[in-house]
Amino acid sequence: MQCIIENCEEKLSEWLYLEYKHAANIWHGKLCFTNVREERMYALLSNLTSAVFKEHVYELALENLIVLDPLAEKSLEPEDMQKADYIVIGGILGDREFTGKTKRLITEKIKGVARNLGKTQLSIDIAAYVAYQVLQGKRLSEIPLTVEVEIEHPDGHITVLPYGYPIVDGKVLITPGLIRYLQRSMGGQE
Amino acid sequence: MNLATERKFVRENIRRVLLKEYLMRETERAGFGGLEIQRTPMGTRVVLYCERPGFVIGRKGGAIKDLTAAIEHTFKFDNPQIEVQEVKNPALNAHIMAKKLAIALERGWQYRRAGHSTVRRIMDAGARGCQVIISGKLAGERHRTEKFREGMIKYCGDSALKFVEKGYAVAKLKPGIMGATVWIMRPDAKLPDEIKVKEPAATVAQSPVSAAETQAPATPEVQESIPQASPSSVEKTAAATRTDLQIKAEKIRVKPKLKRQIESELKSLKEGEVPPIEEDLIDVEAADEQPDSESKKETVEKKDEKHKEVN
Repeated sequence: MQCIIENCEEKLSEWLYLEYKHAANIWHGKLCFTNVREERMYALLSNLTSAVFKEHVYELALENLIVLDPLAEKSLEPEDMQKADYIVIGGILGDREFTGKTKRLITEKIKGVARNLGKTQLSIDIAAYVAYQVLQGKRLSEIPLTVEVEIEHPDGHITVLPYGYPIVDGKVLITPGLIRYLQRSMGGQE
Repeated sequence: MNLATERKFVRENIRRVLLKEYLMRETERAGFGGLEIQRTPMGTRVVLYCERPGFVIGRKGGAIKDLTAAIEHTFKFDNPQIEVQEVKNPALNAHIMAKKLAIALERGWQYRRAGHSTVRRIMDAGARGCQVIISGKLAGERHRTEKFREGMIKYCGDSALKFVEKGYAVAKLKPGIMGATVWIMRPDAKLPDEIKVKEPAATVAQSPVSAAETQAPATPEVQESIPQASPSSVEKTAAATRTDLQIKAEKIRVKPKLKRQIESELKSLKEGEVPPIEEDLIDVEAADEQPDSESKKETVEKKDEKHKEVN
């Protein structure tokens, strides 16, 4: 089984790159990126995996797809993973609430099965992590997730990330390098 | 409380929220700093707090007349009377500070710089605590919330309702909308667990032993002064003299003349007449030394005559 991340962002920000990199590490080379049209982004993502496509996922004419859509009716089960060949994740930097961007940009244009990963909003790499765990035979109820994460910085201010992060061995699994990036960034427009 | 009453309250509160939103929009330039709505027998009193009241009032009161008309016709408030008050310290007003923060973000300030400077300004104005929350797609990336805190803030309970003021404003940026929320805990906020014990007065602070020492000699003075101060002091002195005279007449061997005088005095006392106290009659020693003085005879004779006249 292969994981496909359909890039829906115009620019590759550092946060997005960190999430893509983490997802590539989780899937151990069985990951590919689609809809990567910008040259700089294409070059950077090519360092993470060999399979980077400029086309959309629905233009590749793939079969036996599962689209991970938060607005899908059914949740992802290990049995679904056994039947499918590809699992598609939307490469979207989401908002606090589900805005239906995945449904609008991917699910409606593709012939496949849509499944959700629960009610909590997940980042791209954590969605890839949960999907990988389900592929390993775990059910969603067996993967503990946080509701939101608070990161306290040395200057006294706090960053709240309203996304689900898995708890692995009693510790919250956050995108590697994200905390350092949040502490470094001053918050200006990029 | 039945359902109709509940609906009435909900309707009333919705109307007030809509009015607040309307006035926030209309008085944006004046620096909206809060609103109070009070029902009075004459109508509705609307107190509007602003940073610059001149913008609300307008030239010759034109702007405030329009606002009054809008409140009366659009929101159906009875006879609204708008009172505009200036906010004395804008740095302690959550609405104004939230709006200033939103403007700073719209002008391209980094959220971290804007948040820290807002907190510093509020704390410099004397607030007990504050919290600034900026949320949205900051820096055009994934949604997140940034919190800047300093001092003490109460989040719930009676203290939060009484002392914490909340203000909210929206910054419209290219990547989307960012929310700026400011919580300010007032400088005069006194929490229920903050108890100040008053120091006792200096006189009470003396040790019990020293206090007893000081009070002990004062007691007889007080006792002595009681007969003088009391209204029936004349009666008491008369009774005292009667007993004294009786005792002295029994105990002391008195000369016959003096004895007669005393007996006559006692008779008169039994009849109810209070004679004037004469020191020479009571003082036995003095009487012994001066047995027959003419002055005493005269006084005794005069008294006898008086008694006879009375009888």
